[in-house]
Order: sequence, then C-alpha cells, then structure tokens
Amino acid sequence: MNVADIILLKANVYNAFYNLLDALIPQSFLVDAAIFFSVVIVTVILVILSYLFWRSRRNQRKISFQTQFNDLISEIAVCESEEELNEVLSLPLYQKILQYYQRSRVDRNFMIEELAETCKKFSGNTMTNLHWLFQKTDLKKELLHHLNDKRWYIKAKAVQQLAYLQQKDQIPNIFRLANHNNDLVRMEAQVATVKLIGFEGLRFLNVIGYPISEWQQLRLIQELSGHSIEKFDNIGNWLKSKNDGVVEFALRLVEIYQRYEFYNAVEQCLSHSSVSICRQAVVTISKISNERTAGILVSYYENSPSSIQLLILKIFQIIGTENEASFLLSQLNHADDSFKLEAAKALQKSGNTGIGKIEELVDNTIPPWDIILPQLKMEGSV
Amino acid sequence: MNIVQILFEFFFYGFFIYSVLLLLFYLFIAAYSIGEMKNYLHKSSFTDYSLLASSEYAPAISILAPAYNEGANIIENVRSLLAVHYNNMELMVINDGSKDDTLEKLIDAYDLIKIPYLINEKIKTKSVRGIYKSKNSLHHKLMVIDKENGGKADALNVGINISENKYIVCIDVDCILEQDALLKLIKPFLEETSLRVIATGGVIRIANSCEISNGKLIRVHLPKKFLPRVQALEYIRAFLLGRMAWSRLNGLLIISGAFGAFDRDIVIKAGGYNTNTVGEDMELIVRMRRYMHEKDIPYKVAYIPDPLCWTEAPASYKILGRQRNRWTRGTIETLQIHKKMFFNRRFKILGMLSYPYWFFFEFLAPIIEFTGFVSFLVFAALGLMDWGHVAILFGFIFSFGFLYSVFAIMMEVTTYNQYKKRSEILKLILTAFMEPALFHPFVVWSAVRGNIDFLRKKKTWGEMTRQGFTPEK
Repeated sequence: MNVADIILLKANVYNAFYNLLDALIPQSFLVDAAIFFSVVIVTVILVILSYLFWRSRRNQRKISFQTQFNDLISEIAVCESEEELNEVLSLPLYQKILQYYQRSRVDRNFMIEELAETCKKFSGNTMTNLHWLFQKTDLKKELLHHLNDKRWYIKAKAVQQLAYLQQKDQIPNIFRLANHNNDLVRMEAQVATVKLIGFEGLRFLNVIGYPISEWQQLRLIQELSGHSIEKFDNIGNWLKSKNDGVVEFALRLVEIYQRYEFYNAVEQCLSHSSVSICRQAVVTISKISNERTAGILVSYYENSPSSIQLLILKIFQIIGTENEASFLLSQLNHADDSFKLEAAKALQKSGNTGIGKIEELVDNTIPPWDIILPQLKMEGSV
Repeated sequence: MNIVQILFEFFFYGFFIYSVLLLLFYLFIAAYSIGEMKNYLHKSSFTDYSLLASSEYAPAISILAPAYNEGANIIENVRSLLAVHYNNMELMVINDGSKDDTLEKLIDAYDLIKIPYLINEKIKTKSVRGIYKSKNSLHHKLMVIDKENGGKADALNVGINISENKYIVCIDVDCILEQDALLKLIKPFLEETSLRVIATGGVIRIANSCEISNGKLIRVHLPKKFLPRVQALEYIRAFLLGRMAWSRLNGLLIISGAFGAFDRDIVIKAGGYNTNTVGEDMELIVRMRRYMHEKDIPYKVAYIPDPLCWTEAPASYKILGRQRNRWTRGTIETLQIHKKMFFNRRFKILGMLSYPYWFFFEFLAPIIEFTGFVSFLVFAALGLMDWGHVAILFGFIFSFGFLYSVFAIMMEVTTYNQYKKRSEILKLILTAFMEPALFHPFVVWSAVRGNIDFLRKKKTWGEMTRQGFTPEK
C-alpha cells in the first residue's frame, strides 16, 4: 500500500464516520433536545419556586386560622347551655371568622380537619359542644360530600373524620363501607364503626370477605379498649369463620378478654390448616388454660411445625405441671439446642423436677449443657 | 465495508442504543415513582404509628448494631438507639473485636456483667467471647455481644443467631434514627395479607451540617460543604425516584445496610449475610428473594419513602472514592454470585428486569460512560469528530442529567421537604448544575477503579474515617 492509498483509505474512513455519526445522532437533533430539556428545567425550577411560595402562604394562613379557631374552641368548650353556645358564636369576631373561612372549599376542609382533630383529644361536655359547633357551621354537608367521593383517600378521610366527630347517624353509611374493595376505605370504616358503637360495631366480621391484616387487628383492639365490655355472642361464629383473619382476630379477643366459655372452640383451632391461626390458638388457650390445657398441647406438639413446638415449650414455663415432666425430659434430647434450652427452662420452672434432675441426666461438661445449666442457674437466681 | 468501518458502526450503534435505553429507563423510573409516592403519602396521612409504639401486642423486634472501634461515640450512639419509640424491642450491640475501648466503655456506662447464654448457631460465625447484660433493670433492653473480629456481615450473623424475635433490624451504630423510624419500618410486615414481607427499608439522608444533640436530630440543614451536599442530592434522586419505582414493581434489589428490617426466619433460611462480599446488604436481599422464588412463596420487599435514618457522608474525595470503589465491587460480586438469575424467567421480574437493569445500567454504566467519554475525546483529537459535535453531545447529556436532578428536587420539595429554607433549595439546584462536571466524573472513575480492584481480587472495605456529628467550624 503506497502513501496515496493510505490517504485515500483514511479519507474514506473519515467520510464514513461523519456520515454515520450524523445519521445516528444529527447535531440538529441534539441541539433541539438540549434546548427542550433546558426549557423543561426552567419550568420545573419555576414550579419549585412557586410551590415554595404557595406553601409558605398556606402555612401562614393555617397558623392564623388555628390561632383564631383555638380561641373559639376554648370559649365553646366551657359553655354549659345552648344559649351560652349561641351567645359565643354570635360574637361579631367569631361570626366574621366563620364566614370568612366558609367561603372556599379548602378553608371548609381546614375547619373540618381542625374540628375532627380537636374532637379526637376531648370527651364529655367539650365534645358535645364541639358537635354542636360542627352542626351549626354546616360542615356536615361537605363531609358527606367527601364520603361519596370516588377518590379512595377522600372517602377514607371522611370516614375517619365522621368517627372522630361522633356522627352516629352515619353508622349505616359507614358500615356499608366496611367491606369496600379499597383496603384503606374498608379499614377506616371498620375502625370507625367500632369507635362509634364499640363491640356492636364488630358485626362487620359476620360479612367481611377480605382478610384482616395484623395491623388492622391491632387498631381494632386498641379501639375496643376504649369501650366497656359488652356482648361476645358472635365470637363462637367468628372462630368458625372461613376468613382466616376473622378467626385470628376472634382468638385474640378471647385471649385479651379471657372468654373461658370459648375454650372448646379455641381447642379446635389448634388443628386449623393455617399456621398463624394455630400459633394464635396456642397463645390463646394458654391464656384461658385449665387443668386439661397442658395435656392438650402435648398431644398437638408432635404434629406441629417447629416454631409452634418451641412456642409450646415456652408456654410450659408458665402453665406446665409435674404431669408434663416426662414429655419435657424427652425434649432434652432434641437435636436443636434451642429446644433443649426451652425444655430445661420449663422443667426448672414447673413442678418439682428442678435443675437437679436435669443435672443427673446430662453431662454438664459438654456443649450445650456447659452453657445451658449455668444459664438456668443464673436466670433462676434473678 | 472494511474492518475499521465495521468497528465504528458497532461502537456507535451500540453506544447509541445503550444511551437511548438508559435515558428511557430514567424517564420511566421518574414517571413511575410519582404514582407510588402519591399513593404512599395519601396512605400515610391516615396512619397513627403511635399505636405500635405502646401496644403490648406489637411484634417484638431485635435491633442489631455492629460496632468496630466506635469507642469515641458508642455511649451516645447506644443511648440514642435505646431512646427510639418502640416498646417491644431489644438492642444488641455487637462488638466486632474492636481494638479500642468500645467494650470497656459499654461495660462501665451500662453496668454490664458477663452472662452464660446459649447461642444456637444457625449461621456459622466467628466465635463469641462473651454476652453482657446490664445489672440495672433500666437498661434491660440492652445486650452487648463481644466477638472475634470477622467484619460487619459476620457480626450481624451473630446477632441473627442470638436474637429470638421474628423481626430483626440491622443498623449502623452511628446512624441517627428518626423517633418513629422503627414504627414505620415494621408496619409493612403487619399490613400485608397476601404476600410475605421479607424485608423493609427506608430512606437514608445525609446528616452533615445538621444539628444533632444527645444522639437526636434537632434541625435539618443542607450540608455546607460541596461534597456532602452533592451526595445529599444524589441520595434524594436515588431514594425518592429510583427505589420508589423499583418498590412499585416489587423489584428492589437493595435495602441500605445502614438501616433495614428483615424477617429473621427467611434470613436464616437464606443463609444469613455473606461474609465473602463487600456488598453484603445487596447480596442478602438478592439471596432472600432468590430463596423465595425457589420455594415459590409469594413475597414482597417493601420500601418506605419517609426519611428514617440520617448518616454522615464522606466529606473528602479520598474517603468517597473508597466508598464508591467498595459499592462497585459489592455490586459485581452480587451479580456474579447470582448470575443464574440473568434473564431467567423462573425468577420473574427479578430475573427479567431487576437483575438485567443492575447488570446493564449499574454495573456496566460507568464502564461504558468512561469508554464513551474517552473515545469521543480521542476521536475529536484525531479529527474524526469535530469539537462542536462533541460539545453538543456533552451539552445534551448534561442537560438531561440536570433535568433529572431538578425533577428529583421538585419531588423532594413537594413531598418531604426536609430543607425548609428557600436558599437551601436554590443551593441544591445550583449543586445539581455543578454535579455533572465536579462530582459525576469522579464517581465514574471510582467505579472504574472498583472494577479494576475487583479483577485484582481486592476484598478489603477500605478505611472509612468519619468526622462525627460535631458542629462544623
């Protein structure tokens, strides 16, 4: 190849290269795209700055509203008759405030939110007076409008606020939502019915077609704690429900409220196909235990998953008796050291077997007994 | 067509297709994260997390905090962790063979005594030298474990073996937690009914320049120094856009090692943390997910976009370089260990989308970017491209990168808005403008070095010196 060929080849390569590059990513396209991105960047920055400005104004307005509204609430809270309430509300200052804030939907929502949040914190006469204020301000119409909104978060919020505001006349509407296909709406409606009518509100468990999460169970339990104990008639049916969440929740109710009358139904749940129900049934039956319980748990032990077996050994540390000694001694030979430890603890804590018997049976110089025995002694001395 | 032309075509077409795909993915992630974020914020507005803090029926959890040479701040760090809102919890501080006085300080401060305690070693670890509990019932939630040095993963495995609770929370001992961090992290485990939640993670934020007192975050400020500030922006982008979108797809491959909660049972079944990788946090999630797929159990890795944990970001290029080098090696090691999942339909979204994404756009991206950058400069120097074309190309890439950052800032402002002052937001926008020139090339270079170190079979973490949360002068 002579010099002329090399120059020609190089020129060809450069040519091809330029053509390819221009065909693939033409300069004009890159410039247009960069300009487009720059315009979007400027727009986004303007949106950010406008948002910051709007939010700062909104916060100022909110603070100002809260201050004025808190003054009104503190006056309303101490009123003892409807005349007094009317008197306070007719004061020009408050009339002006209420008229001002009722002009826009955003402000009405502000008021609903503030009233609901305040109601959450109070009870008794203050609460009654706040309900009166809620009726007087005609905000209920707005809230019911929210209840019928198609957006789930508006609907769910409305349910929550109606419950905080103790709107018992809305129970049928709220109850209808307790089996709603949106989980948030459904959960708020379930909690709201319990908040409004206590144990009676749990009747949604008879019809619910959706699972009840552990989180929701905790919420319902907390809500129930504020109500006096009433009827437990339905628990028997719930324990037989096809909905696993309902069964688990019913077991929890039996545990918390110590409903001994459901002992047999709980026992049946020990052989339920769901492991989490079996686990809860073991816990529940231990809380309503009688002289039969330890024996029942021993009989279920063999066919239970290992996590439940370990739980049963832990429960024997509380409810175990001398009758389970031979069963517990057999567990000292379990392949898993955790089982050995829990069985030894149960033996130490229940009956007369004590640590002496264990020491006779095991070699305390080899693992795991060289650790387990000192651990038992230390825990026993605490 | 000669061989040189073919090579050029291959290079350009490959580079072009890759870049287009990468840009499209970024656009998709940004758009896809919006819906999930809106949904979460609406949902969160109903939630009363305090229910979990005090309920006796809340699940018991174990916080595992490995400590290595943390003597300087360990007492304050432990105090901070013990003060977190969650009643039903135990705190396990695992002293990983510290060479300083970490253990002695803990013994003195918390009145600890060594106790006999059976450890059921479900995961093989280095030996445990002793377990300590406090004589003072006020500190009954605290347990200190002293063990031979074996690295963070080994220390966490010891904690997993000792813990008996259903859920474990792994945390860097020097992190500052929001008071309600545990409540938010545990909730997803309790609310899911059809899928088993195997892990949850939250947003990690940069604590440099923030006001911190007695281990608590008092006031948030944007970092004053450029390097931590640009990392604050990087974290916003990664956590608010990237992970949010992956969470919506149920395709998350990583829960930050600084703060994450796990289903202990699944962790043990999957084999615990891998002690042979420097990316043990990502590797564990991938292995847990792989386990769930192999056992055909429906599951989910949940993600909480709330800022839950604040950590100190490297303030020098040297330390940052080490960190990014390690992250790169960790990614490569994880992808290598689980290469079976690459475009494997059996692993569904994990095999068909998450793994390939990480392979092409996390592992390969710095290599391709570096190669492309150098090549364009060389082509221009050789006269194969004119400098104007190179400048326009870089301008295009710069404007897209800037736009993506500004969009992330908008998401931050309209959602959590941690930086209250308008001047801080403007500073953040300015940082986004400077990032492509002053930060991004360094990150790419550190990743390239990570690849080289991986080929050299380097396994060390590299020392991560921290300045501590003291007021900056």
